[in-house]
Amino acid sequence: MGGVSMYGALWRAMPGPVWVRIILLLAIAAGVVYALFTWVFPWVDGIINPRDVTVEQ
Amino acid sequence: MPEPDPVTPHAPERTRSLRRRVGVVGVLGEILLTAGALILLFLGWQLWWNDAIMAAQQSDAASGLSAEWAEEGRASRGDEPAPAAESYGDPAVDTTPYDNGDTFAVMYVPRFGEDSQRQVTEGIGLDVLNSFEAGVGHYPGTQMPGEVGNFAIAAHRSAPVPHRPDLPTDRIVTLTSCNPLYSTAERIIAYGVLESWQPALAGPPAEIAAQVEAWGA
Repeated sequence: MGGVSMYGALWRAMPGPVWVRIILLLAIAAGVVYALFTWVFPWVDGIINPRDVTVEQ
Repeated sequence: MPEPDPVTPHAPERTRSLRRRVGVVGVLGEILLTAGALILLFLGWQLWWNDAIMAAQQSDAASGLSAEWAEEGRASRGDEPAPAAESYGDPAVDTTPYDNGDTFAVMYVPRFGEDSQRQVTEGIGLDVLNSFEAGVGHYPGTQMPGEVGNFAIAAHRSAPVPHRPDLPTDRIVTLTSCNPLYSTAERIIAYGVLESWQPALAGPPAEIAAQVEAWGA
């Protein structure tokens, strides 16, 4: 397998047989999504998208 | 005997540089794919997850406030029995001058589905409409519930609305919201006329008694 790949490197960096790696990957993905939903997205939302749906005009 | 391939001596070098180029393109592709996935995830969070969280917190807050008021009512009433239905008379009107952000009512709309109870708060700014406690805003200057005229309220499409100046003898409720769902292109407006009222001492009206019980009061 040639070439440089972030996800390939991640896969190779993980220990254990394939099923352990899959479980690890799912756990990492769940953690990343949790962090995004809890902290990153609310922060981004405040910066780029003040919900412009006001009825005051 | 096959001829020796004249390219062979150079092949390893060429393969290596090709591989490096593929590697850079590959990582760039991975970054772009990841960015696309993140943007989709963000949209999903904003349109669905965030609304769901906010709706749950708003209905919880409304239930909590409703329960608090019911408890205060019981405490102040003591053993005094609830008034008889015939003696209610004209609707009681709350004449307190509320400031922006003051919550003065809890609204139940069974047709909006389960847990659609919301606090009704003075003001229609984002501080009210996007609040994790309030959610239904009362247009300042419009009438209060029970008052002749127009009790006008605004809410997101996870909440309700009032305005009918041509019927000054009725007690109107007008609810404005956005349409279509997830868009602000149009306004949707709903009207209602006061049908009956009863003091809090008499408990919730029969029409919503089941919801008040089930959703928390």
